[in-house]
Formats: sequence, C-alpha cells, structure tokens
Amino acid sequence: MNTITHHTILLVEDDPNDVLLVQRAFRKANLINPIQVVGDGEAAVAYLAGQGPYADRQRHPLPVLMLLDLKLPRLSGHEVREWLRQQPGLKRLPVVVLSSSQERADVNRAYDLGANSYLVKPVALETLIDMVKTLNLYWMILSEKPEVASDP
Amino acid sequence: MKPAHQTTEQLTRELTALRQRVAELEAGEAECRSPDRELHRVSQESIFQAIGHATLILSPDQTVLAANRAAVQATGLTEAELRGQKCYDIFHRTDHPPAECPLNQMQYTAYMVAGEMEVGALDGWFLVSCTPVLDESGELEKIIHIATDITERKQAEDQLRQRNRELEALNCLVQRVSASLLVEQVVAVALEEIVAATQSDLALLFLREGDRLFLLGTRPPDTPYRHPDTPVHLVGECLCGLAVSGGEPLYSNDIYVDPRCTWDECKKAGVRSFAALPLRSGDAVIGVLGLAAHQTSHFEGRTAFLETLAGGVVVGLQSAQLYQAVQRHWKELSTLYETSQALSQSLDPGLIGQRLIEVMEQFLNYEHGAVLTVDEETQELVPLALSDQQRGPDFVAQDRDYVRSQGLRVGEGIVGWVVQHGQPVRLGDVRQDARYFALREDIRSELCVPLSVGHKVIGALDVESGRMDAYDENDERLLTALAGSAAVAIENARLYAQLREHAATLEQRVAERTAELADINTELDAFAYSVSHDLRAPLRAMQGFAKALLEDYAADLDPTGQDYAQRIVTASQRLDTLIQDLLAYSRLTRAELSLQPTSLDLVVIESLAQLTAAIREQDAQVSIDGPLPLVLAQHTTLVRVVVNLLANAIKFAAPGVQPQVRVWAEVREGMVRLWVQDNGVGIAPAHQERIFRIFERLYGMEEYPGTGVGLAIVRKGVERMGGRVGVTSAPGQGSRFWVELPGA
Repeated sequence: MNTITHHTILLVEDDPNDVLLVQRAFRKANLINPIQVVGDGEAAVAYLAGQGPYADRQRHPLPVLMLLDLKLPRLSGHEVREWLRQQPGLKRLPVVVLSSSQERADVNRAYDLGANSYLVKPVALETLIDMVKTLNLYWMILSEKPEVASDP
Repeated sequence: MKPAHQTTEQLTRELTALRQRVAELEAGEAECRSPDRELHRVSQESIFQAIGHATLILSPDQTVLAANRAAVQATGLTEAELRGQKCYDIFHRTDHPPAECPLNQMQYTAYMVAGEMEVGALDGWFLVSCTPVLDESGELEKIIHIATDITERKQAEDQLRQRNRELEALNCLVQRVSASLLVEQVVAVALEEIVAATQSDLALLFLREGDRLFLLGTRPPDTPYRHPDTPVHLVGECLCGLAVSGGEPLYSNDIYVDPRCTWDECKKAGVRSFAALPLRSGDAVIGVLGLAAHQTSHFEGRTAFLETLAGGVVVGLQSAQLYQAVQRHWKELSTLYETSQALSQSLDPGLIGQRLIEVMEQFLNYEHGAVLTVDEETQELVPLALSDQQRGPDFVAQDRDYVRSQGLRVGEGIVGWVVQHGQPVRLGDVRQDARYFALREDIRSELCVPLSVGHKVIGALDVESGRMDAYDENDERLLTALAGSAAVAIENARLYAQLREHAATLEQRVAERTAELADINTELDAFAYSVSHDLRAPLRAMQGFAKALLEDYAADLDPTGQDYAQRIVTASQRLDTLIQDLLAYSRLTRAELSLQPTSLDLVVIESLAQLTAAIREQDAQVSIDGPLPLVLAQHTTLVRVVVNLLANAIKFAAPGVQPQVRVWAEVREGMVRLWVQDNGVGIAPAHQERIFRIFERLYGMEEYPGTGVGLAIVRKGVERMGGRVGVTSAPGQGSRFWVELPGA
C-alpha cells in the first residue's frame, strides 16, 4: 500500500462549479491528497464497489474519506449512504456530507443513515478553504482510520 | 236517721204548740174585735183565689176539699164538680195516685214536697208542690196542692236536647266528611250520616252539570236509582230540579198529593215525605240533596237542621273536588314538566312527536291524535307523529300516507285554519263548522292548538273524538301548555338538524382546506429545499469565481475590472444573506416548537457571541441588567429573535455615534418582558407597526444594508411561542423594543 492510495478522497458532486471550487480550495489549502470525482450516485456506488470503469484499483483506489453531496442524479446521497451501510467491507468508510441544504430533515436523515459529519457548503470562498483545511486536519491527520476493503 | 226523726218530732211538737198558742191568741183577739176577724177570713179566701196556679185543698186521703179559679180553669170542671173527687182520678184518671206524685209522701213529712210530672188530663207538664197542714195534735189535717204549668219550659228543654243531637250529628258529618278526600267516599259517608241523623229512608245526591242533574250517590247504596238507566233530572224538573232552579229548599209532606213531584220512581218506592235541599256554593247551586221518608210530614219542623246538613255536604264535597282538582292539576303539571324536560333533551323530531302523542293520549280521550308541522316550502301540513301506533306500524304508515294523500295545507280544514291564524279551535260538533274538512266520517269533537315559536306558527297539535263535546276548557288549557314546550322542542330539533348539516358542510370544507393547505405546505417545503439547494449553488459559483478572479488574476485586471468583480462578490453575498433569512423565516413558520423553561441570560449571552464581529466593528457598548428571569420558549428560536433585536440595536446608530445598547427584563402578571434599548436613529410612530412586516425597510442599502426580514423573524418567532412584540420610539431618540413571553 502506498501513501497515495491511503490518502485518496472521493468527492461525489454533480455541480462542476462546486467541483472546481472544492479542488481550488484544496489547492489553496496546500493539500496534496488525490481527489477522485464522480458526478452521480450510481457512479459513486460503482466506484466504491470497484465495478465497470472503476475496476482498476490502481487508477481508482479505495478512498479513506468520501465527501458526499445529497442532491445527486440517479441515486441521492442518502441512497448512496444507505447502500454503503449494507457493504460489510465498506461500511466503516468515513462519510462527510457536503450539502447546500440546511434543512433539519436532511441533516437528521444523514446522521440517521450513519454520516460521520454534515457540512453546509459555504458561499464565501475563504470559508470553503477554512473548511477544507479543518477537514484535512480532523479526518486525515487526527482521526484513526478504520479498515476498509472492497467486498469480493 | 234516728236523731233526725227525734228532732223532727220535737220541732213538730214545738210548731204545734206555737200554732196552738197563736190560735188561742187569735181567738182572744177575735172576741175583742170580731169585724177584724171577718175581714181576715175574707182576705185569706181572696188570696187563695188569686193564686195564678191551679191550687187544691185536699184531705189526707186526697179528696178535693176546695179548688181555686185557676184549678177550675185548668180542669174545665166547676169547683162543685171538683169537690169530693179524688185528686188522681181527676188528673191522672187512675184509681191510685201515680208513684212519682209528692202527695204520697204527705203522711210522713211536715214540710212541702215538690216534683215535676206529666199530667195527662191537662196535656202538659206540671211542677206539683204539696204542703201538709197539721192539726193541733200534729196529725195531717189537710194538704195544700199547687200545680204550676211548666209545659213550655219542658218543650224548650226538649228542643234544646234535639238541637244538641242535631249539632252532634252535624259535627259527626263534617268530621267524617273532612276525613276523606275522595269524592265517592265523601258522598257515601255524608249520605250515611245524614240518613242516620234524619231517620230518612232514602237519600239521593245529584250534581248539576249545565241544565242536567247527575246522580252521584244514594243511600242505601243499592237502591234502584243507582241503575245506569236511571234518568237524570233536568233543572226545574220535579222537587230536586225545582230546588236547584229556585235555589231554595223545598219540602213535601206527602208527595202523593203534591203536584210538584213528577218522578214516579219515588212513589213506587213508597216515599211519602220528601226534602229537596239545594247545595249552594256562593251564588251557584252545584247540586241537590234529596231526602225521603216513608211516613208523611217526616221533615216538618226540621228545616234548619236539614239545610245545615246540606251545607256540611257542600263543604266536604268541595274540599274533595278541590283536592281532586289539585291532584289532577299537579299530575298534569308534573307530566308537563317532565315532558318539557324530556322534549328539551331530545333533538330528534320523530322522538319528540312520539312523546307528545303519548302525553296527549294520557290526558285526553281521542280516537285520533296528531302532531303536524308546516313544510315551509310547500306549505303542506306534514304529520310528525300520529296516534294509532297501538294498531301497528302498518296502520301508522297507512294513516300517515292517508293524511298526506289528503294534501292538507295551511289554511285548509281545522288544522290549516289553526296554523294560519295561530289560534286554538275547540269544536263540540265538527259537522256544525264550515271549516271542517271531513278526513274521517266518525269524528264529532275536535281540539286543535297551534305550535308557535314567537310569532311563527310551525305546526299544530290535534285531537279528535267520536263523542260530542269531548273537550272542555281544561283540555284546551292543557294542550296549549303542552304545545308551548313542544313548539320550542321541535324548533330546537329543527335548528339542531340545520346546524348539524351546516357543521357537516363546514367540517368537510375545513377538511378540504386542510388538505389544500397540507399540499401547499408540502410544495412550500419542496420550494424551500429547492431554494436552499438550487438557488444557492449558482450563487456560490458566482461569488466563488468572482473571488477566485480577484485572488488569482488580480494582476491581469485594471481597477475597474477589479471593482466589477468586487461588486459581483458583494451582490451575491447580499443575495445569500437574503436567502438565508428567508429560509430562516420559512422554517420558523413551519417548524413545530416545543416550549420549555429557557434562561434569558443564556439566550442573551449566546446572541452576543454570534454578534461579536458586528459589536467589534461598530465599537458598540452593550450592557445587560442581569440576572434575567426564565421564560417559556424554545431556545434556538429565542436566540434567533434576540440576535435580530440586538443586531438592529447596534446597526441603526446615527453616523459617528457609538451604539449604546441596554438589555433588561421586567415581570408583570406572569409575563416576562425583555427590553432592548438603543440610542439609534429611532422610528417614527407611523412606521412602528410596518417594520415588523416582512421585506419592510426604512432605509436604502447604502445607509443601512439589510434584507427586511429580521423584525419579521422576531415577530413570527415570538408569536409562535405565544408572546407579543412591540416598540416605543421617536425619531432621533433611540428605540426601545420589547418581546413578551410567558414566565416559566
């Protein structure tokens, strides 16, 4: 296992603007973690399961953290999280929900389904950079990572 | 006894000695003055004759020696005829003196003995006093016998005794009659007492109804007069009828020869004497008491007593009738009361009608009874309930259809007339009334009263009978009283039905509206979700890339380009604030709040913490008059409210003035009022209500930027927690905002 695979972050985000801004924030925060991006819920499931275009774990390694938007095409963020809970090898993967929604219903449902954290996408660019820095500090450096493996 | 005898003998002897001495003296005197002696003798004779009572001088064997004028007058015999006769022979026509005669005792006494006795020969009672006259030796020489006529006194005494007996009988009658309150019993007892007290052979009691006399009772109870076919008298017919029409008692000493007696039944029964005593009550004659005896002239001389007895019967009869009337009224009243209670508790018109029919059946005799209501649209009279339920439901249905099929309408027939005019109608013979509408051939009497509520007639109660004159004023009064509560109950039931229908419609409309609102709410939720997601995503991109442009390509942009990019950033920031405020307001409107005791201290501290940046930026001074009390609220919502109030207090400072904010609370009548006072620009009274509405702003973006949502959030949040908000302010004098919440 090389360090790179151990630091991969999976960003599930359908809005290309948000993808660009998050990637820029990572850059501005001087983070070198490789970010894998998928644009909908089905793609996220395929990536995690190592299926289809994502079968090659060298090119598409298992992430140590998933940043998950809720409002996604095909499968919603909640549905992805729900699927994840059923996967014996993957269920411990830390999931941080990154959503525009401040609705209590969304927040509560996300935690009910096992989200590890819920962050609201900030409008201000500086705030986004701060948030990315905090994410890195907390999840990538401070937190002990659980064992995660693709299911056979 | 012996000493008494001795004393008597002694006295007799002394008396005799004295008389002898007197005689001697008299003899001596007479010899001296003989003309005086003659005078004395003449005087004694004249006194004897002058005695007003029959006076005899008798020998010891009761032979008449001399008789005075009164005795001659009383016996009708001359003195010569009387002289030599035996006293008892003359007065008692017996051969020996009667045992009670005081003469019998003259042999044994020296004194006067008197006694009362009936003297057959003189046809009267006499007080007989006998005085012995003794000779010189003390032997009985002669007897002075005076008989005083006491017949009148005796008769008076007899009358007194008779009067006492009568009084006793009257007393007994009144007592026994008063002991009973049932008319039949009173009649039986009274007749029994009267027959006994008057020694009558027959007593009859008639009550007057109109011009007829009905036999109420007889004594003995099972006389032929009791027979149901017995004809009743008419007023003015026979002795009894004449006594009623004349109002005076009538007596016949022998009905066989009395032309006034036209009733053969009495003659057949062997009656000779008859007394017809009217029963008077005030000026009215309510009946007559007839007394009959088999002997002639039986009632002669007893009229006062008989009339008094009749008075006693009236008293007993009236109190019993009064009692029965009271009983009946009481029963009517209590039934009416119970009925109106029951009616007012029922809201089912059918049940009310049924109950009315039952009560009408209980009090009024009828062949047909009906409760009818007016159909306001068609003006038809619709039966709500009909009698005849005892004949089975089929019959009722038929009857109802029958009544309906006749198409009775307001203004038609008796019931129609009653409903139209709102007045009762009572007919003794319906065939005589042009209004009658022959539904049934067998009807004679009808009583119909309107069911009125206020001035509105909603129907009628109707009873019909096959008898003539079946209903009187009492029946009308009762049915009218019943109609009073019935009308109200029926109207209530009708109104209730309308109300229920109305309520059902309303309920359905509320349900529909609720469903609509729920739909709208769901849409609103979806809208808010969409706003928070979709509206903010492009906003983030606009702001993010403008910012990135400024940061990453500042060198490539001239000052104008940089200004433009900055304007994009500012505008999108403002839009984001607006969106966030709107979302907060919308959440406040829809969220369910659970109120709990909440510390105002904590709320204010947390609010200030959120405003740290603004306070620092404005160099504001905020002072809290703590400790603040607890209120009943939801913590998060209250924080949002207080944040907005404090933010405004800091924001609306006049240019160049340091914002000074003071926060305190006061408790009054269980409510807590939190005050936030500033030294800002103030608000004109005209705007003080407006500022709490959403999107209302008093200043341009350049002066005081804002979304116009803050105070709307304050008011909505406080109202959702059961509180109130307000402000006192004047331009240039700062503002004092307050929120009031229930204390915890």
